[in-house]
Amino acid sequence: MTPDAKKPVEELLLEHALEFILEAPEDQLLQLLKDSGEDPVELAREGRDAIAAALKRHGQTKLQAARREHKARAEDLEKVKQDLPAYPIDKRQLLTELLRQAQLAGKEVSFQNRDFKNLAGEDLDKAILHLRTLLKRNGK
Amino acid sequence: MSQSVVTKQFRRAKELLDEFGITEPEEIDLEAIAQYVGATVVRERLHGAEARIISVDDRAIITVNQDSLPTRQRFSIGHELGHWMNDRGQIDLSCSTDKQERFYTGTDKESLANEFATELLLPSSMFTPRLEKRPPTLEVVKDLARTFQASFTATAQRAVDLGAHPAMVICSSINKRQWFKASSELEGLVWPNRQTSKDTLAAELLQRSDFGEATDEVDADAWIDHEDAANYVLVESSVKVTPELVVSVLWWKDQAQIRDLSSDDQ
Repeated sequence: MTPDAKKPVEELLLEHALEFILEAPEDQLLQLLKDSGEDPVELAREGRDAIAAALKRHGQTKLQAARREHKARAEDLEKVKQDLPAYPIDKRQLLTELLRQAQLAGKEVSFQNRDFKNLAGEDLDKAILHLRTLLKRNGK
Repeated sequence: MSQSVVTKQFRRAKELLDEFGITEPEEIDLEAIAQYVGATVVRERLHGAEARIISVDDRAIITVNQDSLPTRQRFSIGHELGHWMNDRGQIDLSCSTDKQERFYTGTDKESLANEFATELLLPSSMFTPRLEKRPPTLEVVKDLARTFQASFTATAQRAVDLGAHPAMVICSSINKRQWFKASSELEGLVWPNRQTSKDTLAAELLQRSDFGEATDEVDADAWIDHEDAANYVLVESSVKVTPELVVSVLWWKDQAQIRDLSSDDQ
């Protein structure tokens, strides 16, 4: 197995441990455990628990990182100010134009809630803001 | 809906939960999970929609209506994430409360998004041990809904799907049944009436102007389309989930009734 410098230490340790267990012949492994006075069943359970705990810690670290990123992105969105047309008809036109331009530029755009007739002015404002933010972010 | 399509939705949701080592309901942090897959969740006032998703390439913003119930908001996030996983690059979706409820079971994109949301919010690996062998009473469904911070509709459907008791969940409007889901023992054997009977608790709730809930034993023929149904009773637990829709969970205390009804059909 080639060490991967990009992988976290926990993941690398886990991979090495698994590699050892997988490669050792079963009878040799059992004998080794018995000689050392260990109960193979109990040890297997402890091993499973340890691996599960390590995976959970690793997952929770990713979850915490995602939580921090979400907080930062949501706060960024709150700070954005923009100039917007005053009337809903102009807002709809602007939104349509932004969508058209993005698609022309080869962007893969998804927009649910495109029922323009029922979109209130406030909904249109936020939709334009969100679309502009995403286009700006992806344009970098 | 084909089993393979549903399984795919379940697998995708399960993979996400496994990725984070999530094993307890309270750990299901939807905002963080969404952010991990590139979708930032924001809560704002929306008019005429429960939620919406706008995306450009691999980034999305999911907006949920801040005025909705927290459980509804969570389901909406799960639902929009389902769209994000399934329907990128499409500009033809719209998710109102009613639409999410009406299309709960079906073959369209809304149903697939609901299936994804269900497994994400109410994972079978966590739900089944908590349901145990309990029947899907109003108390049990509400208790599980609290544990998983999920809507009554989603929890009821899950309880019927994964429970040990023959049961049905039916969504009704004032005139007719909108959709239903039966546990595997009942599928193809017992059919609910197409019309909403005035003898159901659901009909009473639909007549009222407020949101409410009710549970009681009712004659089975109020719900079941079978010539012998009047000889039996079932337990109905109904909750009004929107001004026009009631979700009802039905189960039989005496399962001999189910055996009788099904043997008549054979």
